Amino acid sequence: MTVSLSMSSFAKYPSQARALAERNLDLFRTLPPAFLALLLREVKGYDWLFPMEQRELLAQLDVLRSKDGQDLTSVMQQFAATPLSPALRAADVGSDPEGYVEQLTAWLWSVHAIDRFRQAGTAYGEILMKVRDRFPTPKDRWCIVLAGQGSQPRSADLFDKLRPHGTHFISVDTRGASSVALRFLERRAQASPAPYAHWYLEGGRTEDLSTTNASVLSYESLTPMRRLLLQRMERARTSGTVGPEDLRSLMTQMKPSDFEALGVPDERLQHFTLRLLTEGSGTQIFSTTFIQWAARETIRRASPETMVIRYAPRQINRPMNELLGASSPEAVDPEGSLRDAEMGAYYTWLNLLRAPTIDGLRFLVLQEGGTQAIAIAPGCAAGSRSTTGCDLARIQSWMI
Amino acid sequence: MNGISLNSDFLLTAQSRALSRRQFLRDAVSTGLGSRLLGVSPSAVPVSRKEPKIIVVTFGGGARDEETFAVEGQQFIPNLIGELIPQATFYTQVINRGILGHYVATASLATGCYESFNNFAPVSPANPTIFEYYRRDRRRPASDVWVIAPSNGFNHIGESGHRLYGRGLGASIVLPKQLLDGVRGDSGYQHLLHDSYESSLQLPGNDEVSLHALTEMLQLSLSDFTARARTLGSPDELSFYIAQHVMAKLAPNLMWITLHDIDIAHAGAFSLYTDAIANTDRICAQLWKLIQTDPNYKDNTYFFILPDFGRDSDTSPGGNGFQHHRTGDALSRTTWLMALGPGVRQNVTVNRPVESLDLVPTLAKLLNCTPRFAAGAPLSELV
Repeated sequence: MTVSLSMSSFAKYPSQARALAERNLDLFRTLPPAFLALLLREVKGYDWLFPMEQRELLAQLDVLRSKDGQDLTSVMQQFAATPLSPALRAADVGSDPEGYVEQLTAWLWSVHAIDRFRQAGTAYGEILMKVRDRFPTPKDRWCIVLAGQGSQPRSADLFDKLRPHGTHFISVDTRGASSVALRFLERRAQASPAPYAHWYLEGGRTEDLSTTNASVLSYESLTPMRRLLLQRMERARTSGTVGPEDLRSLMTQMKPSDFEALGVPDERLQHFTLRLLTEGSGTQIFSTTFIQWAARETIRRASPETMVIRYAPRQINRPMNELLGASSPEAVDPEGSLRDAEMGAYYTWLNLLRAPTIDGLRFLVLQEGGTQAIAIAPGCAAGSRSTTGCDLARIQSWMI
Repeated sequence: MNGISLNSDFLLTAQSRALSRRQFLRDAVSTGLGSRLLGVSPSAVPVSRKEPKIIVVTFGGGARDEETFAVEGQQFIPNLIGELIPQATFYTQVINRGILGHYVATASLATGCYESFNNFAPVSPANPTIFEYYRRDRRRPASDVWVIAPSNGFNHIGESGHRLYGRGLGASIVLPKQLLDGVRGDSGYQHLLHDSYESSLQLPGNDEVSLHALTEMLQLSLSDFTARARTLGSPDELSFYIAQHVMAKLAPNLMWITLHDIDIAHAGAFSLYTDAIANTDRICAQLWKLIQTDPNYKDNTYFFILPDFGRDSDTSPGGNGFQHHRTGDALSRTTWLMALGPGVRQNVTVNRPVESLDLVPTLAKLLNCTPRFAAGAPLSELV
């Protein structure tokens, strides 16, 4: 089936994305519509992709053009077999790939074909992993998670899901841990100043860094953007004319230029941040949710070499109309936030396992103000426990 | 008719999950393996001669084994583990092959068919519900069949659009939040008004006529109702409060309660999700206690508890763990079912795979009605 596409399909794409799409028009016309929609959704966002993503997308297009390999042929056949409604068959995939994907998703659920589609996607994902393997792999990756700000020190064991995978330190002096972690980030960013390779994700108020080579996102600094977004969500919600799917579409169509105060200097980071707030569920209202989702997306999209992730207390749960009403936050819940951070840290570790390295991942999580930490590194015996008195810097020295 | 065909990987995962559940329960409460070959359970309860009553609770929206029946999750369900499971037949492998949206999935449970409508659309199921089968075949009035649901999106679940049923044959539906919406000039219960966590959208509220009719039927004063609402912590607690009054004043033979607080998981805060599971666990125990202490219900009522579906696994790359149920993976489709009541074998597990669609044929057998258009088969261990 040849897809109906023309140059005009890409008229509303940003400039680099439009040029890329026009150069590959012939290729796109040969691809199954269900797959093409997903691909064009990425192409359309090309101008704001991170460097690694841009490289991988170009490599992906080369692979698709070469039509190399039985695996690729088989996967494309699976996508070609995806049932389409008459409306989807007639739609211009190119002009609104995001809208097409939304309609396709709803259609596939309704005809009980979503699982087969997911299988095809998983199979294509394995091809993408081989594409990713062609690019230089970082020597190592470091991730330090600081959890439980404001919570009571725990005597019971923390970080249940991570303990089987590393060393559990129970006599840690965590005073000044955030400073140690951020100085470490600074050193790595200075030593290897690749763009978007080093990240500081802060759930509360940002601490200053002495380097400009790190990307910084702070939940607190995003307050003006979040409030504006919540106001728009509340207006749409109470209008009576906007359904849940329409609301989602509305949010994903928002652009940084729609907001006056963004709190993020870098244009590429502005787009990234906006997507975190418009595509993430709960990221607008709970700082712990924002940090976990931000970590996930940073790993997936930027493949960072260094991350310092700091959880702060989220607001207490309140009626949804108050949460969406963007009123001033009330009390915070440090103990609940610690539990959120425990799970968040585990998910971050799982996400990092998918990012290749040469010498391995170094992952550390600790409770700020407490005495416990988990260190996962090649030199740390899985499931072990240490009562040795130490601090963050000492633990890091054992992880090298 | 069925949703999806299941590949071998899916079936292996579902079976593995079922075996894990059985092991967890064996470790926790020493439940035994149920079998059709067993004669009489050591703790069989005499079957009542009265017309049986049925209460169905959907343990929703969506909870995973990791936060319930797994070792690390049992802390959140002490009542299910310690009090209800020992009195129940527990199905460890209930597979949902349909659409994993709360309204459409719950409607599918109520019809015994995989419904295909838009989860967010205010539409009736296409196939007849168990409420209609029962009312038509047994000529029961609307006051004998109740649905209590927390979300405005469920207000059409009680009656289908099927040409041979529908038309006033459905259940009486209470949406407690709409009741509060209809109360004028009061406040202090705003915390109960939020809707589905998948969407913050609220549909326009219901009119006052139904509110007054309901409060008259339940002999419940408006001021008492709103005063009570102010003391409650969650929408599901409000639903339980309504259920108590429905049971006390009307004693319907069939009542369906959709619990939904657990769906807070969509907001991504793990602590709020597990708090909601613990709350739902408490409500289920309170309901069972109510059943066993009310003379209209005691020893005469079948109590079914089941989730609408699960949630995504931690390791599915397309998902974000507990937060959503979007991947359609085996873990989000494989859940459980608990049945208690007269003649139900106690403290046993059933490991063979069954479908969520099997609920309606099972209820229909107990209620002595014919589910003409339902798929699935009656659960032989129960009927």
